[in-house]
Amino acid sequence: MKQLVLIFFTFSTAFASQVGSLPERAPIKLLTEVQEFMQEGRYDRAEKRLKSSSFSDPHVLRLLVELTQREGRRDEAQSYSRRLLGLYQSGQLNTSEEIGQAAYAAWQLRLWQDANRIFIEAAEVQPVSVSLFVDWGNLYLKKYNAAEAELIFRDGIQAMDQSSSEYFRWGVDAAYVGLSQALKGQFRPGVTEALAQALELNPQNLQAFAFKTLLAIEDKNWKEAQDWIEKGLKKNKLFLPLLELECAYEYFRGEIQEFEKRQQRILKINPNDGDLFETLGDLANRNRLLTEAAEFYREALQRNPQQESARASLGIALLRLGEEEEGKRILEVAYANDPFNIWTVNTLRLLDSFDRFVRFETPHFRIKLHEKEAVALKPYVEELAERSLRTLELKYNHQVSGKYVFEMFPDHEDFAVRTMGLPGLGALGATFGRIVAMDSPSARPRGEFHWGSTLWHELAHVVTLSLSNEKVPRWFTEGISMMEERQAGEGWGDYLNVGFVQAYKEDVLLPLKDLNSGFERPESGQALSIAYFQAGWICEFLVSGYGFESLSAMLKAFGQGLSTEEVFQQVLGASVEEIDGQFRQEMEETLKPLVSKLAAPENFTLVHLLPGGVGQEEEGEGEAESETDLETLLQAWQAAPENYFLNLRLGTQLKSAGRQEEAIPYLEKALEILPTQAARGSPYDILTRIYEETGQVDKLVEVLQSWWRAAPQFAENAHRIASLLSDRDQPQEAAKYLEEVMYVDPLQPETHQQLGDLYLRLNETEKAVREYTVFLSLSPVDGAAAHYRLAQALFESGDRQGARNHVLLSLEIAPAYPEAQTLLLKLVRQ
Amino acid sequence: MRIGSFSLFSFFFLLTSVAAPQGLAQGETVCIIITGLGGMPEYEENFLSWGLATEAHFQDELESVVYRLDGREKKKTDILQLFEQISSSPPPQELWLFLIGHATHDNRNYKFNISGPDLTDQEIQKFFDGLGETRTYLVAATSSSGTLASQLGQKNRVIVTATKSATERQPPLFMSFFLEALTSEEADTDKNAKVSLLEAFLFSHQKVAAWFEEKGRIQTEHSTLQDNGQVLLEKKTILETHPGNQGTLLASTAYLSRATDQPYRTREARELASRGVELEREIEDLKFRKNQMPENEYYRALEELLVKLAILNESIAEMEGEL
Repeated sequence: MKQLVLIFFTFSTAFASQVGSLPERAPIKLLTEVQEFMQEGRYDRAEKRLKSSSFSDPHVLRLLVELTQREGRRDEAQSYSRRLLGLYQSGQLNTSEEIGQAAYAAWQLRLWQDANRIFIEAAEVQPVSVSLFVDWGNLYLKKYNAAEAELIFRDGIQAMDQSSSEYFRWGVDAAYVGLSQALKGQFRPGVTEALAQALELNPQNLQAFAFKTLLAIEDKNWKEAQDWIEKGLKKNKLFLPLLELECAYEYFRGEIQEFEKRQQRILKINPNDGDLFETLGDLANRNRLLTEAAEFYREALQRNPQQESARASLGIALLRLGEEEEGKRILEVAYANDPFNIWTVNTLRLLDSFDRFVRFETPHFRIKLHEKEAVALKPYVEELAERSLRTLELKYNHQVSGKYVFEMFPDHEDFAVRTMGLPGLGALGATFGRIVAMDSPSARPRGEFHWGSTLWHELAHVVTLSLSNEKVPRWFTEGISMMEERQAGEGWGDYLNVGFVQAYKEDVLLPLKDLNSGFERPESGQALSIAYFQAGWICEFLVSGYGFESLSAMLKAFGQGLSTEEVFQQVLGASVEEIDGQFRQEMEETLKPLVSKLAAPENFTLVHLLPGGVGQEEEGEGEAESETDLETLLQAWQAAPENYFLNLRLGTQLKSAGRQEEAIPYLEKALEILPTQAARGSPYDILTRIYEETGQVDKLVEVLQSWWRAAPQFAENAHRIASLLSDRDQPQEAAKYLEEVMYVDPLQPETHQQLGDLYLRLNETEKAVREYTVFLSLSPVDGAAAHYRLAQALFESGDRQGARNHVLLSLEIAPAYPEAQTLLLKLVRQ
Repeated sequence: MRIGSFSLFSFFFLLTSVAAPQGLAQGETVCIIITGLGGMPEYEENFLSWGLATEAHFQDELESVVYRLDGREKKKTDILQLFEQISSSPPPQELWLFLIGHATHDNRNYKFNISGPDLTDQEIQKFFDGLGETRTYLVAATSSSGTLASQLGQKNRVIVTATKSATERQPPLFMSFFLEALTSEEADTDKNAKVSLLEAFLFSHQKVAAWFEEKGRIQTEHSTLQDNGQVLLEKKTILETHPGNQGTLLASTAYLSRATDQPYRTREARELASRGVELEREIEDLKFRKNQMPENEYYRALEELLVKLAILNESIAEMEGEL
């Protein structure tokens, strides 16, 4: 603070000594003319014009800052910024627009807090300037606060009618461009709409062209990107942001010669252009080309050592490449230089938390598990990771090279930070670079998360990314992962549900050519789920229509840098549109019959049929009311006996009314219509309750088994089945169910104890030892019994010393424990 | 002590309206269960059912003299009268007091919520102080109960609270797990076929924590145990680092299960059993010294004693015809 005051004092005195009296303002005509020159790419002319005018005009100084910065002439830019700030300090700036320029100057001098303060001041001067909100919002975007930036841009749009400035640097169109960027930064919808508004207000807005280009490149819509580049460069062939994006376009299209020429051209304009390389790095990062991203970020820093955002991105990229030490070191420097970057802060905090992780290696993985659950998870994670990779490598006839880092996070927000640098991510797992990260079972409420299928899904990404040199489009790698997940285990992955049928009915499914945007800019969480399911189905369709080998061939073709259209033509012999048409036909054949069965029948709404959720039982106010409802329902059912919801509702209501046996046929019918709808309150759930209450054990086992196959995330079902089978003296079958529970809920001590008991019964002593070891690690209440059980299993497996150690530990807790005493004597006497 | 006619009337009224009125004899176990106001039907139901379950356990399993007072109907005067009655009777061997309900703390006093004026910590303290050498066990399964541990803890008393401080104000789950412990093999960690107050506390303490973790919620209650005015067991880990301490705790010999020990048939078995008790004491002493010994030496000595005990128990079983 003292330093800032000193700087300001120095500026103001220096300025006062130079000027002595109120400054002259440049004529509006001049400023407008200069802006036009800049818009048209006549930068030299613009600079000459400005220099011929008064230096004490804040707008002149601001434009000079922009012009000199554009060419990387940092010292000059700083000098103009200081002069501009000096005008403010000496009280010579009066209007909102003018004071806003001083804020901009403070920003350029990296006086962030002062810039913000001056923007606030400018915003309090009426009439307020739209332009200041644009600069202000851009400051927040620069400082990683897209949420705040959004609010500021919106204020700017509101201020449109208030401003009466005769000259302003930016109009409302620029505010819309900023808004679009702010929305994108928060992964929120409305990006394209805001851009459209900008272009409607100003069809020649170059920043809008640039942003459009960026979005098209991100979506790999090369034609569209090219169109926007051409349009923009036609207006201003020296507009640097567009030239940078053109460079990126050439790079990612594999036009390396053109790329290198363009790069040289840009560096001729601005040898210190860090933005070029940071943009290349960001796009490489986005395309999972992490090694290249890191190189680009390094180059950005070489060109501009103050490009702190690039430094932070470099640190994060290195972490994703498994270069933990160097990544951390770079992030620490980034934090010291720029503490505003939340990605840096979050990632450094995450790295600190790694001190509490246990690390171990398997043939293909370097695994990190949190110390509180490492013992419990280790046997299952290492087995499944190796098995899934082996299976997928064989299937796709491709071996990945080197080891991958595999991390499981008991805190979902840590996983989100690891993946995105920010909390709040909705995903369960992610693969990037050499890292596979996911939630651990304890990160999610019980019954919501099948970690086994998520792991398999992620390892499918490892193989498809490796096979395609990281060039596989998002929809395709996700589609293959969804497909592989379903094939990994019975009931694993996602299946057809009411939501997807509804989306089909409403015709909101994306065409294949746009499916990438369903992942990268989904309109909602539901839209994202639908994109995933659709992608998986498309892959299954390709396998059934074109053979499994088509997938491998497509992956390899993508790896050669071919576009989606080129890959489809080369491997499938058809265009994207044609394949999409074929797929839609299959979808129609499957879904059309279901649409009517899943619609709300006449005189009903789905809300009425699904009170509080699918099939939730209602307690009526009295028999009379429920009977009336039943009559109405029965009448409706007679008109639509194939309606899923009517059958479910009737079944549920009959059960509530105590008419269990009558309920069963309706529930079975609902199951027949949509067997994959297996959430709580589904026909499975209601039938389970009926059979439990009526003591029909065989049927209970049957429906529980069906439910488990349809939805293996409800661990309590597997527990019930195991218990029932165990009672029927079927320990082998019982054990199978508990084994499967481990992929859902491996942190319950009782499950491991029960499975250990079953293994002992089956004389599978090694497995019993494993289970009891895990049981013990979960700090069960009855430590003596836990040690004893493990001692028993070790004894049976022939490990006498291990048995002795644990029986002593058991008796240490409970010296009079009869069973443990017997085992101790057995050990000492043999 | 002279009993006035009004008091006499109240006494009879009390006898007809509580669950198990019995005359007190010296050496008996007395259990007082007071359930408080629920406020909401869900809590009321819980408090009442927990109170009834505790009553049933103490009556059927422990054959204690049980007084259950429903704080929705009973007033403080009724409770104080019962306290007075017990204080003025021959002192019981053990006295258990269960408070099940809501409570508050106004920075001065703990107040157990019942109909009318609340029962305060000072009133409970006065009652306890009047019991002399009677082993007294308080289970305060209420919110804001933490201060009772330091306030009431002293020699011959064990104070169990469902919360660690006055600021833990959510209705606790503690009692539901405590009741589960009473009949749980899992809770019987020393495998002597009996569940002690210490074991029930540790079981409940752990189960409450596991419940919150499973639900993904911040834990809003942390139970504590103060034993003989000296030990405050807020964390189970204290026991893990001091395994030898448990036998010296009063709470470890306050049993909530009926003793299943049958008298030995043979004199030799009785002598051996007596030797067994000595051996167990030696084991506890050794455990107490664990941190002062090299690990190898400790486990060698422990094994020696455990083998002796095991052989001894085996011999007893043979003598008693159990093998």
